[in-house]
Amino acid sequence: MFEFATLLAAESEEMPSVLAVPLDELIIGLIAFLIVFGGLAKFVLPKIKVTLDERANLIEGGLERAGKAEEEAAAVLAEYQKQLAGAREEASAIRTAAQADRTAIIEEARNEARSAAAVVTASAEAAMAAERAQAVAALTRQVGELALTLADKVVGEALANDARVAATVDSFIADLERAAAN
Amino acid sequence: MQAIARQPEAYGIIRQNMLLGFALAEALALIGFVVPFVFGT
Amino acid sequence: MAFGVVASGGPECHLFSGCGFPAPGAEIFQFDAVLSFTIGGLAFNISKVTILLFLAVVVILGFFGYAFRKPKLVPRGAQNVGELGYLFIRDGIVRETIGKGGDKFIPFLFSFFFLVWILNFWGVVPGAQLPVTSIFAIPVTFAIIVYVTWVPLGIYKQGFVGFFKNIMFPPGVPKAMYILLTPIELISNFLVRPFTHAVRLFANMFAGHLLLATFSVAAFYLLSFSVIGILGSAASFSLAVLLTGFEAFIQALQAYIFTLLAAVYIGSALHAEH
Repeated sequence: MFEFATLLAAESEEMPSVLAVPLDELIIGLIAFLIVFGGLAKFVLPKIKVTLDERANLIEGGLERAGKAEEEAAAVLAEYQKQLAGAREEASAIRTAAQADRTAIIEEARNEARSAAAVVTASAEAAMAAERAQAVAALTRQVGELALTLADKVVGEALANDARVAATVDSFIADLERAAAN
Repeated sequence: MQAIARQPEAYGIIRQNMLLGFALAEALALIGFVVPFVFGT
Repeated sequence: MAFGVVASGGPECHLFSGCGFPAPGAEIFQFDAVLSFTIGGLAFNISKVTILLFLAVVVILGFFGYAFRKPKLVPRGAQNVGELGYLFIRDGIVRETIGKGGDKFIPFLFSFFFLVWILNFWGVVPGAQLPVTSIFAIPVTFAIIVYVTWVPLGIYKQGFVGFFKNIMFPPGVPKAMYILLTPIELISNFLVRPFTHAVRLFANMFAGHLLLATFSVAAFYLLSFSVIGILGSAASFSLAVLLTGFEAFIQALQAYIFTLLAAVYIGSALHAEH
């Protein structure tokens, strides 16, 4: 390529071809590049590389810290949830126990009431029976006395003259007897 | 453009290859443009 | 030669002064030496090209030296801009083409990118108005530097046989294809690669500069108090302005591509073909 260009340059005498590559320009170009490359590679770019690496490290460190914080938060949350679940369980256990207690108490009260009622009923019945028996006895006695009085009266005044009255007395006494038997 | 639409995450590589292709194709046209100046009087 | 305006800077050539259009040609890339000296039998000519070249060196070293003079963890001002450039080379070029193992080539590629870019950029800087890379010797120098970097590097990393085997016999190809493929690979990798590497940059800058020069010359050449003069001159002038913006983009793109290709070559030397 180089020879090709110089060949071209040699062809036109007054004006070198645009593809001419004079050696001096080549060397000057090389020197210019080497100055730029050397200056940048040796003095300028290492500085910025260090800075960028530092920044990257910093950001990575920050990310790490953030990750750690996140982990911590997750742990705290888990613990909290665990506590919450425990509390809930406890509450439900308490509730169950309370319910059982309530049922037991109600049952007890009911039993007590029932037995009390039974006692009351029994005593009332007994009293009633006693009263009734007393009443029946008293009545029977009174009726007997009454009947005796009536019989005295009836017998005393007209016992002999009316057979019909005698029948009435008879039936009355029979009735009384039947009632007493009842 | 279709390639970018289909895989937007590969934008960098697609753009790079696209420009490379442009440059390679364009070089031929430019060489054609320059040849008359080089070989002309 | 009849190319008066650009070459001599004289205003005598004009549309109605019976002068043909002084189309700028290759002569706008020729500069007289302001200083000549001889070292070891070789004559060195210091011309506008050389001056701009070393001005670029000063600009780059000055800027980055200033930006990174005391780098801080929290960047501000120039350091921000410098870091942007560094990260662009590191993440955008080196890590994507070579991988993380290519980090030690960052200074090399960094120098190339910014040197080529600034040299290109002189093309749109008023007063300079010459992309130094449109002087063929400069991209050739750079391409040679890249070439003598990646070839020995490949031989060193993969061994002499392995390196050539990888390039001449790319894997995953039917055996019979090697008859066709091997010469093509050999030529394209060792002969065409450096050539196109240099010519691509050169031709882009050369053509761009010529285009700008043509429209600028046309704007002046057509300028006169007539409909054609005003319209033509205005159109040429606005095109020249527009193309200047476009050139600024192309300059950055070409610097990127030059560096990217250098990175690709170095990457191909570091690991075998995949």
